[in-house]
Amino acid sequence: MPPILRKALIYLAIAAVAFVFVLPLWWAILSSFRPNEAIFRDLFPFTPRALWPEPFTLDAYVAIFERGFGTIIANTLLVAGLTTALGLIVNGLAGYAFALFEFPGKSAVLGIVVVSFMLPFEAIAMPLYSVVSQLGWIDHVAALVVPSVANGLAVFLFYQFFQQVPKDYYEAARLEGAGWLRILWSVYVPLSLPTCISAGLMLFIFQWEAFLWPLLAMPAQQFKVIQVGMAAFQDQYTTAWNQLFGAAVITALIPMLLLIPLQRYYVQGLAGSGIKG
Amino acid sequence: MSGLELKGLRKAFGLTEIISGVDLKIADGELVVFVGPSGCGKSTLLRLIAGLENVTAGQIVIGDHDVTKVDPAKRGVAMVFQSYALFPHMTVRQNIGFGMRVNRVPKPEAAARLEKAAALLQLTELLDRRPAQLSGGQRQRVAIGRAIVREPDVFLFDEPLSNLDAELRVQMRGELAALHARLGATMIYVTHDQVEAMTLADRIVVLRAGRVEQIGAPLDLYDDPDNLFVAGFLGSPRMNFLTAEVQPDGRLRPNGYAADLPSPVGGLTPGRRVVLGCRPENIEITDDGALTASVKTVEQLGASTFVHADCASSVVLAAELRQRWSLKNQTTLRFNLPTASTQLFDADTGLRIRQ
Amino acid sequence: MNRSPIPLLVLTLAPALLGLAVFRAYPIGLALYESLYTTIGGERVFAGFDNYLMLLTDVGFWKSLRVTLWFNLIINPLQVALALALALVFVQKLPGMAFFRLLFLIPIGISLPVAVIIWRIVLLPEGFLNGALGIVGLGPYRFLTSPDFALYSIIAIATWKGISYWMIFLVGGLQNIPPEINEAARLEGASPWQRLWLITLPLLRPTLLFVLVADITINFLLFAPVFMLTGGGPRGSTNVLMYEAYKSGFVFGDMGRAMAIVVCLVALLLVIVAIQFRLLSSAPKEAK
Repeated sequence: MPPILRKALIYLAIAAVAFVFVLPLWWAILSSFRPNEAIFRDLFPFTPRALWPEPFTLDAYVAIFERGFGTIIANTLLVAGLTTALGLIVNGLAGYAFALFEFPGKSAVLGIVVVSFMLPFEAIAMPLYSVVSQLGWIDHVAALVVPSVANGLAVFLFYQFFQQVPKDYYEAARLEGAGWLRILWSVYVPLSLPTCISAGLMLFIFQWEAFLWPLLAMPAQQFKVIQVGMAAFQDQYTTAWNQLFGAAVITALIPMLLLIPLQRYYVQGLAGSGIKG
Repeated sequence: MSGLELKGLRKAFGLTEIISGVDLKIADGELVVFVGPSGCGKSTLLRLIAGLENVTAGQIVIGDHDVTKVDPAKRGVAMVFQSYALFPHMTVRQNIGFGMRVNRVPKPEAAARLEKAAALLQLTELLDRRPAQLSGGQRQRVAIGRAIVREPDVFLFDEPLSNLDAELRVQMRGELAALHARLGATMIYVTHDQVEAMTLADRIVVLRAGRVEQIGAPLDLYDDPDNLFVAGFLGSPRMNFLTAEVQPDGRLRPNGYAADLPSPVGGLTPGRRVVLGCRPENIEITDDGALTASVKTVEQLGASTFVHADCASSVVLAAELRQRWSLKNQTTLRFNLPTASTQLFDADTGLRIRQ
Repeated sequence: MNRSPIPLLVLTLAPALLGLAVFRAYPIGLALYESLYTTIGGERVFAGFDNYLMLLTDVGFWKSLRVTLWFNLIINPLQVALALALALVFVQKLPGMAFFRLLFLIPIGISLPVAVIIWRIVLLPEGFLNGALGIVGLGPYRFLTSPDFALYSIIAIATWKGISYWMIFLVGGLQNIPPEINEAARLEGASPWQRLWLITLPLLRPTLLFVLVADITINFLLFAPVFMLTGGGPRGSTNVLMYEAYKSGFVFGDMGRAMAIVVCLVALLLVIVAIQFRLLSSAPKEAK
């Protein structure tokens, strides 16, 4: 095959794939800016005008926020933010301990931690409901935050990172007379910033996307998080298409705003855990 | 087997030119070493010849064929990589036989070629092992074996010894020289190590910043360099350089000294700035020497002694002596640059000034 | 590294380990325990293996199991193959690739519920896809309400959302293969196709295995699209075990049956994963 033809074919394939990824999103975005009755216009028969937000209106977004979507966003940011902050501290400390301290049974405990993240949250969501209800946390914010703080994958990411930091740093700082907290804070924390970002993103996105667990743990729906809120929205306003699209766009937008500038860290964190995991 | 010719070869990545016009003719059966500091383009040049990079301008001819646009696999070249690039999931046998497998060489012939190469490289015992189970030197031999069974027109070596420890490197260097003698194949060898270049090459190509500085037999380059760069690059410790000015009487006055030296070249314009070059082994330390220097360090190696001394113009002089030496630091010594073994370069262009 | 004082160890390790023990390990034990109980008239009664025995003769369970297995048999190979193809494109060094790479990553930022909402409207009989298919004279189809299409629509949505994520792992694996290995194979005369099968895929095997196993565990427990799109219907065609368990426990209040189903599901998952590991990681030894 001549190289030019080959190149053209490759580009064609890439463009086709990108098209499939982008097109539904594009349609969702532009539809959220249309009046509801105009959503399905231009589709039968199909005209290119179906790909342009016209007529243009912000009605959908106004309506969403009037229906309390703002509170839902704030709730989710609170839950995800708390989980991320606590998770970085708790899992970072554990990763540090696994990497730098020796204790009997260490490899066995570490092995269990690693296995724990291979089992998805969904598998234990229903029994976890019983645990949380024994604690009396049903319909309480703690039910969303506390069980998600300790995360095997985050521990593993930190362990992996701290382990490849040369031990000389630790020993040199010890010889200087620094205590372990001081060493952690002034040597390891600054070094581990990329790992903090990838682990933090992971925890945040995990909470942002949580669906089954908030659905089970918050049956009263007084405190709604975004994915559940959106699903409820879908049930309530089945045919308010433009508002549904608007809610979906907002829900997708926030993690995107984090992911696009920080994608490098997220990709590295994930890919690294896959190779070694 | 066949020779190779590069005509006006250029390679640019975006706006940066890595290879800026290389012309070179390599004879059939010759072992040519590309040498130069890192970033000089020697590896890129090798990858252009292999076809792993596309040529920006110019021609590559192997034998009688213009291969500039030919697929790497069809150029008749085989390459040994710096990292060996052995396939980690295959045994030594599968590694060496890989090319014959994908090219559908008939099994009996493939087996015969493989056995022959394995015997030549003493790999017969190791054929069923994987690369991870081999030592550095053994991996190196497998990589060479994979090249040999292809029976290429040209062998390409990209810093093949740089991953070995010092002792093994000397040993493998000897084995490579013996292999070349035995196969009589055309080989191109890239290294930044001038000792490898001096010991292995039929001819050395010295590269700097994508250009050829000089081509020649190792000792010719050593004894008769064309410019300051080649003079300084070959030899360790490197050649001593003293900047000097041509006096009205044609003699040379080194910077910072009040004494004049006779010029190895006549007819220089007075006032011209030149560089005197003299190799450490040619420096004469005598009491009636014309120049002085202050001893900084003395390195006793047994067979020879290296003296490093500060000259007047803050240049450090290196001298290699055959006899032992007992002077202490800080003492002043007198030395001479023997006219017959001193070379002259233009201080501005760096080019050699010949008679 | 010397031994460290106990208080220090407790302080650093305890929060994470306690969290994992209470919210990961304990629920697994609890599921086993609760699956041995049943609720009769609001009273919890020990039932032994009755919950499991009843599943054996439960037509709904078997039908749901069949749906789950069929769903996984299609979606996992499909996702891994597409993610691999995407990863192979992702690592190409072509002009303009940086832009396409960003597009490839977009679905990662989109949660499954969001993907479901968008696709639900795209897939409506009067929606975008039917409109586009109308250009070539096809359709309209009832993608979500016809038993022939619903499961495959869910597969398509989950795949659309999932493959970018799995692609990332495979890209990591691909970038771990030194470029000289491929260059060496190219010089030896291996075609791109041969390089893929003889070099890239064997070297990618550990990553592929990881992705396959992780993908299976996720898809075995897939819940959100079924809950939001079809509620298990039409005519039970999308009623996967995870949804069946949810209905049992949270709609019909039979926690014992729900737990028994979850335990069966996880046990089945473990068996499949174990078989995967045996098959895929022992293959290179046989090749000797």
